[in-house]
Amino acid sequence: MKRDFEPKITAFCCEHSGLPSADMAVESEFVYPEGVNIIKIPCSGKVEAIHIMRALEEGDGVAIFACHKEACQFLRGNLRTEAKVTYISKILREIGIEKERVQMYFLAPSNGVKFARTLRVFYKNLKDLGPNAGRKEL
Amino acid sequence: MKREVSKIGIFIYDCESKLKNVLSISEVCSKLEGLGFVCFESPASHFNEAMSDFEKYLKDNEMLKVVIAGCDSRSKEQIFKNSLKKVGLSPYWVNFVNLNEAIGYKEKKKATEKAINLVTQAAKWIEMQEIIGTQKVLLNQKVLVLGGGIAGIETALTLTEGGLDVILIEETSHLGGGAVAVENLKGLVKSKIEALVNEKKVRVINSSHLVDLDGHVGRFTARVEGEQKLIFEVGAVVVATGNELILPIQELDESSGSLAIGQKDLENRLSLSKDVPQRVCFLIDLVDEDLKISTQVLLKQALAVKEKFGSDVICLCRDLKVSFDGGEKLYEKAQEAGVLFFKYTKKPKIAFSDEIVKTSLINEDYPHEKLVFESDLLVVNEKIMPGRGSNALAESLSVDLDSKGFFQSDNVKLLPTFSSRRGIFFVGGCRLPQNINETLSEARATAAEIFSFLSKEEIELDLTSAKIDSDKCILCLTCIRTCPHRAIVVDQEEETAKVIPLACQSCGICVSECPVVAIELPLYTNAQIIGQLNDVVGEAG
Repeated sequence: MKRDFEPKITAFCCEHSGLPSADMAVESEFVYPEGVNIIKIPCSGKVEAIHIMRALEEGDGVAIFACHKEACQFLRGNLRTEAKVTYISKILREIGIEKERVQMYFLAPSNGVKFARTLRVFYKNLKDLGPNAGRKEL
Repeated sequence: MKREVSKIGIFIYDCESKLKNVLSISEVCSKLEGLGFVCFESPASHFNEAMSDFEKYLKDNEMLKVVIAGCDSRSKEQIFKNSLKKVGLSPYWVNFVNLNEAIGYKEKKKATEKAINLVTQAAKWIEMQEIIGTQKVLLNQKVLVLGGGIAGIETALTLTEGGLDVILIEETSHLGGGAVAVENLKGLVKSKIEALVNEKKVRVINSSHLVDLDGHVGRFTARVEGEQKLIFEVGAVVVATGNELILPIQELDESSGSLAIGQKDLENRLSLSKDVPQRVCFLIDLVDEDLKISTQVLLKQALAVKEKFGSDVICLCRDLKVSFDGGEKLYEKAQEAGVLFFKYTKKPKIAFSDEIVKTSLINEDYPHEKLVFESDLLVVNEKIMPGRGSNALAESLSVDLDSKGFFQSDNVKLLPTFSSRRGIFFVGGCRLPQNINETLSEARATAAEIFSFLSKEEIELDLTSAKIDSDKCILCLTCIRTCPHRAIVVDQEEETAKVIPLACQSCGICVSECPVVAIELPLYTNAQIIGQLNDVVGEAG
């Protein structure tokens, strides 16, 4: 059953690192899994807890791509998001959803290879985890 | 509710027929037209050729909003925005889709589905986009420069060339800063000071310092104290307070006397053509990690001593950093000239005895062996420290300091001389230890940057900044604490937090932190982001 399952991933990409990396990944044809939905945001600090929870309702996993620590265009936006992800993992534990479904990655603006690789690894992990119990039934 | 989608034009560009092989564009188009959008498949293979067609099409069909789908459309954003402006549409009513994302899909059907998804989501996003208003803002065209060193003087001079008024504040009683003490810079500094004093647009105030800075970019109020208390209204502030050099010799030994000198002293000796003894030992990296400047000076001086006086030159170093221009070449040249380099990992021992310095260190290749060098002169690199008043100044400017106490630039690579607050700039040694050429070019670049936004008295600003709903705001001050650019202030009359559009850089951090959801970012609203989460094709099926 698990073999047929295709995880759906929502990727929040910071305009300063994640999005250029995504562009580079598709341009250089570094393959990342199908079913990844890229959403652009001005800074990873813009991601709200509700956005992540709503994304989990619609899909199986959420990846947040932020700039490297201490290299945020807006000083501490990525650190705030990191704290938010920790907070969300607590909520997820309480409601019985695996916290591994929400991941945060730090990468440089021109890191298409890492973007594709992390998504591939994340995809595989999600496949091992199985479908998200909290996902809305279609 | 009927959506007004017929005014949204979707342009699909198949650049170099890349898309045609993997997905069917006509299917994408027909599907979108089924949803009510207007789809336009451009025959041109390249964006630039298509621009005039694009403008004509917009005019003829009275389009309001546009979605551009193509292969590298994000990098062409500005071209499209310009042509939207030409037609008279808002440049914010356009969204870009990179259809390359769909190319990675192996099956044609799936790729087409993905493309439809991408374009529809973009269209949904732009459909929810509201009008971005504009606001006229008055700017004060004066600039306050803090610090009368070479960086401050150069900035002030360049600013006056652009026609701006400058107030220069120096903490000590004379201009020139640290460069005055260096022999071969004296001439340059003197000529610059002369030009500055003769310039009518510059007001120099000695023996004073900044106490307090209020307001925001374009409208700062600075309180200056010194011989007299003054208040200035300025549009921008340049911090050029420089750094300090401290000789670590006291840390070495108190009996060193004149046997151990700093790199600066040797530089002065060399430029005054004083004698240098027969055996010279350089020792660097005792104190500082930031080696670029010390390495550059070390290599130059070692070469000069070797070539001019034929002395025996030994360099002891933990590391050499040759990342400056021509560094590697200089190092090779020094080695060829006969300068000896020794690497150490453990701190060498230094002993001073009647006119001779003995430096001993462990041989790296044969650890049981000790190397002892006798020399007549020991040259050490100075410790480069942030200026004395940096802490107090950073507090009154409400900007950040880095871990070493230098001023923290907003983005080290992209915006090196910008501070986290718009309108405050850091130039020269107060930001990073650097050499004189770098300082001068940095000063000129910063002046140009200031000139680019202070050149007009009144500007029209697009209101893309965050907006606070005053009815929802409970004045918890969270946004004021979290704003990295100090762009939010308390409006005492209306009892709400208020965003200053000029200072806001639209990062959206306050939006996500606000506990009562009172803040919205016009270009990235909550509804827009949540609207992206649903799978459109899934919804329809």
